[in-house]
Amino acid sequence: MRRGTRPDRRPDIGPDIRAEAAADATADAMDETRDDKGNGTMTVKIVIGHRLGKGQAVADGIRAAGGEPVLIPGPGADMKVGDVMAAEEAALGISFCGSGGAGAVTAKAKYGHEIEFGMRSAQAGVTAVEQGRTVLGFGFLDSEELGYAVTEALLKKLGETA
Amino acid sequence: MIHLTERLAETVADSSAPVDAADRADLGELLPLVQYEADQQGLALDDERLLAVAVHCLAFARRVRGGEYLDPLGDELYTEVPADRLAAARHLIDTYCGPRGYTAPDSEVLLLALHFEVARRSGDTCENPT
Repeated sequence: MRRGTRPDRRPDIGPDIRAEAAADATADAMDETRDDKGNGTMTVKIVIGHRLGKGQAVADGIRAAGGEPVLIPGPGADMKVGDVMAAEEAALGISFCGSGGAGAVTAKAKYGHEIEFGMRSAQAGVTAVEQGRTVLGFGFLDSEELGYAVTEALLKKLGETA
Repeated sequence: MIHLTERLAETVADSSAPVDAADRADLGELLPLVQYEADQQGLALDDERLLAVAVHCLAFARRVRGGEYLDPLGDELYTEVPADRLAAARHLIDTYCGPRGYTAPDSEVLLLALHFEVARRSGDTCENPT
């Protein structure tokens, strides 16, 4: 599936099963790859959806921390975070708008993700990751620092649970 | 609207800032204004869109109550929304904010208007707008 396209809606299987499926998907979302010397490296996909079509700085920060950003193009991208996370089997989604809440609650309603929204700092995002949230909603905070900090926290958390 | 508020409350119950009594009171005033404007524009908001608008309203109402102001947004972004619909969003916001002594910045107007534009572009329109 191409990035940024909208997959078919999943059947309504109930909130508990959706939440369990979202948690399982997150646990499976860390791929182990090995270089030619057999050294393993962990990669995680993190989806970014920005109401105004931005998010490049966050993507740069994710990449710098060793993650793989999936930046949804175009205005209104925040509303597609849950869909693209499912399509890409991503570990985390980040939604940006006035509060980031619209993308986050949509992802929760459709896929059962644990969410936090209304955040305005990288540290708040780190705390949310540590608490097991899988979709993070922020105000407009397109910064490398945010992408780096959240990715670092996610890699640490997934490493602990692997 | 009560149903929508409760659905929103259930959805964000596990977040660090669940819906409280003050939120319910504010949403009880704000969401009907939003529904009225959607009707005026001939928009039939589906469940997904309603929830998205509702959580936006929740965050907005909290900013108003807390006296917080969003930073300005780039001028080029305002070209995404026709002037008459920006004016309608401004009217809605001022109707809500006036009694609260809060003057909302243009960024709030644009963000609300964009919710309506997203609904319009995704086809959530009535054949016979009221």
